[in-house]
Amino acid sequence: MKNFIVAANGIPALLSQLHRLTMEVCTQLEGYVSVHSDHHLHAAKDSSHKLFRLSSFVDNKRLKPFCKEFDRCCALLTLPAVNIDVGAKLLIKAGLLLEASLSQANKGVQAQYLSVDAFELLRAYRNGTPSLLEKVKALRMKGSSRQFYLCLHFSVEKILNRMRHDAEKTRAVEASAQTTIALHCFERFTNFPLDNSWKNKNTILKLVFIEVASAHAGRGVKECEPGKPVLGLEALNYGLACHSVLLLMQERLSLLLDLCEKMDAHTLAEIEQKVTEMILLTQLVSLNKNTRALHGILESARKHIRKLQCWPRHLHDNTELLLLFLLQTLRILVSMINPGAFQVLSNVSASSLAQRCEYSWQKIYQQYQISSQLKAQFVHSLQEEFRKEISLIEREFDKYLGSVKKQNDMLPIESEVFWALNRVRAAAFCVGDFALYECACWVLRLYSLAVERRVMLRSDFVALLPKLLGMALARDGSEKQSLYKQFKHALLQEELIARQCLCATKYASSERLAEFLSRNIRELIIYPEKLYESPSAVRGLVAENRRCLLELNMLSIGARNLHVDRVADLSEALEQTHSALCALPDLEHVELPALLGPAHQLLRESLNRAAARQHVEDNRGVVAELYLFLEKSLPMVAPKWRRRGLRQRSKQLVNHLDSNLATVEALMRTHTLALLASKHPLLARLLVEQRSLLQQLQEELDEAQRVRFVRVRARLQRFVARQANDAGKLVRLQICNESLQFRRATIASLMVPLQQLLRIVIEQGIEGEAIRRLRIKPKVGVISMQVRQQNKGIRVDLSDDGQEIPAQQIQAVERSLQAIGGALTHDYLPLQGNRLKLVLAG
Amino acid sequence: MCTLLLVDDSLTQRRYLELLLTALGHEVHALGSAKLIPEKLKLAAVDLAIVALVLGHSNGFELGLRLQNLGIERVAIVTMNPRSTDIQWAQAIGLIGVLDAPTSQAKIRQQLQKLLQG
Repeated sequence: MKNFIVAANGIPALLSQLHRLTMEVCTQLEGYVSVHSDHHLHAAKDSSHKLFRLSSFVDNKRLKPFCKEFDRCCALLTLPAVNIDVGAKLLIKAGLLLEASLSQANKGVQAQYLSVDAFELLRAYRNGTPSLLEKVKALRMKGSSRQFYLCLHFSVEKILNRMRHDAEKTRAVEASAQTTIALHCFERFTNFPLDNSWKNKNTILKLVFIEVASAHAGRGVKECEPGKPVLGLEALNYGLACHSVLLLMQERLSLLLDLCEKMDAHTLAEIEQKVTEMILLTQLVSLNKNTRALHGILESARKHIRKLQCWPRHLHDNTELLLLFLLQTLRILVSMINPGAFQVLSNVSASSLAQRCEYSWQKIYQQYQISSQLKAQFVHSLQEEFRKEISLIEREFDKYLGSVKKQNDMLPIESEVFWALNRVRAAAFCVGDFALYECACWVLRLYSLAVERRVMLRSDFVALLPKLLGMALARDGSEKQSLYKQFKHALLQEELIARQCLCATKYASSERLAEFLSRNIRELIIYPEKLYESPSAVRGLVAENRRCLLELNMLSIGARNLHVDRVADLSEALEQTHSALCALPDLEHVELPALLGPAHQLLRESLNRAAARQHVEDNRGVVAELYLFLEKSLPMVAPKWRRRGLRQRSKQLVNHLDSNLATVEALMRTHTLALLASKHPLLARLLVEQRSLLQQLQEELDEAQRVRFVRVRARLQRFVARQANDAGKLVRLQICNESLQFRRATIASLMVPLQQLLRIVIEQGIEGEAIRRLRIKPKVGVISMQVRQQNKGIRVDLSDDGQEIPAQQIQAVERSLQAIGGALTHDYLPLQGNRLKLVLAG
Repeated sequence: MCTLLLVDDSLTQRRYLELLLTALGHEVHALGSAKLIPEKLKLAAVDLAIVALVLGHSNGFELGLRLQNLGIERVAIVTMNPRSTDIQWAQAIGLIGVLDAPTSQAKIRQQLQKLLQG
């Protein structure tokens, strides 16, 4: 190993790879500084880790520790409470030093660039402030302005990171020693006067102020004179890295809500002032372009809008004031999410965030416009219509609930519910009841998934519908709020279960398939009209229309894939009828419009209903008529071979005849043998002996009770390989103690639950290759299976090196095991993986 | 100014759209059911029909095809949550477009202009 390391130092290829990695880290960090995308940080983290691992092969006493420290600092940036801007800039500088040291691959590592000072700075940034504070003192004595501000900046940043972390968790940081250190630091090194007013300030406000000042101190590296820092409210303009502003905003929002419940002129003025401050702070945060912060603000804004909707009516003025503020917040968010800011992001979350912002903004702004436009004249009449509509919808829901009670467990998918939910949503939007609108949106989203057969809803979901209407009919704000809370809680549970369902099932992209079908189905749309249009041309239309056959074939396959079975059944029946009609030599005696017209009409209707996400009606009557025609008019035609044509059928018949002939031949041979045996007693005796020997062997085989576990090894490994291949993962199965013997029946009854468990482990436990790479795990996931004997039964310990499997996933297997007298326990240890213990009595 | 036929069985949404379209200066015949369409068509020639996607016992696509057979060339669908498949299917069956609703006056003016010109 030593030889290899020594030799590696001389390998220019390794050094040039290190150089390339360093450049990559620097580029990603610069990318972060310019567009503030988390994607860059993760890429930088990956590259820096590779850099560190490769650097250990270079025998240089400065390079390896430097790379290690560099990697640790990069990893630090991905933590939530860290001010990334500051760290990124520091790391870029360190990265450039590294790059300089590795730039001449032929000459080896230029260690002079990796100075002790640079290394110490990195370490101090990672470890904390005390050493930095000492350094600050020393630098102040020396009068070195640039390094003084840099150190001051980093030390305060470090303190702030901890303070922010504390503030987020406990919201009580006054007592912490770090605050004292930070204040002390400021008082001492920046000539910042800590007067009595400072002590009265809000904790989070202090945080913001320190943070802004710190950012300013960072800026002071270039611009400020030593000993003359500019601190004050104008420093807010420079505070682009204010993470604590978000905390302040959240606190202010809750304060505003408290204030709004009091109703007097003084409070109103205070509210106005607070709203102005909040808008300023929002602008400040929006300048930072931090996606996490944006997401937080957006969520809190949406939450408060919903809260406002549930307020008592007499506080309407204040509500509007706050709505205005929230609108302003959203406007800023949307304005800053320009295409340029997100074009470099490849992750879905950022683009969905942008879409969500846009959607929220549009809807809220529209709602506000609507209420302002319609308030004077029409709102009263709209409200009346809203009540009428809700009572109509209530009747529909009652009918639906009745039908659900009849069918115990299965939740029927009825188009009336979809229609009613759509109407609730539209009506809520028109009258400006945004809380109801949001709730109906959630319910509709779940219901749409059920209509598309992507999830199966539970009967509990039905109980939510009356609650939804209850919210619509509630007039009092507090009543509405309590109903809203109940509804939200119940719906969250439903959504969680549906999400788990979605995660567990592999679902093909229905959008693409639907898109493909809608692009390619043309003939079927105009076919019903064509059939009735000119009776004279119908025969030609049916006999020569290959496009229709093609579309029907395509539709039957597509509809089956999209789980629209009724459309698939009908199109299959139609396709068979059409192909049979093409094969018929004479169509004169067939009433084509009467036969095909209703079926094509119904197919188009069904397609339209499926496209409108409505319930496709039962079409068995029409399908039966088509099959009846096939049975009566074309007795030679059987459904299985029809699509392959007459030639195929003739081949099938010949094959069938061949096999029958073969059977007849075998029978004849047996008969000949029997005749021979009757003539020759020795042959007859030998045949009897052979038969008894065969029976004995068969019985022995059947009675062999104990078999080795190794018999099922090949089967299990095949299963794992197939499942892993389906999931697109690399998985290896290891089996220990496979030579142990167990009862045949025990092993047989174990196989099904064991295979289920293996499937779950592969799908849920073992991560994909990309994620495993991120988590620094080997490319191939390993599932270990240890077989043991326990109380005459079998115990299988299954372990993997993947992520935690949700407990709900295992419950089904657990139940099936309990039904046959077994037990299953699951345990997850971080960094080790899942541990499953499966026990089955003998 | 155009003569528009609006078919939507949601009372509130129909009224709201009617208000917006009337405010834009169009003549709007609003219907809550498709049964009354033939009678209405006898009384007035319609430039554009706007049909809700989700109707109680039918749907906008089916009704759109029927309206086309009745001689209305321009039929558009109005929906609360337009999806890409809605637009594609509407185009596949020969409808002129999908409107997003409920919407503001400015937006609906823009959308209508686009549909009527196209």
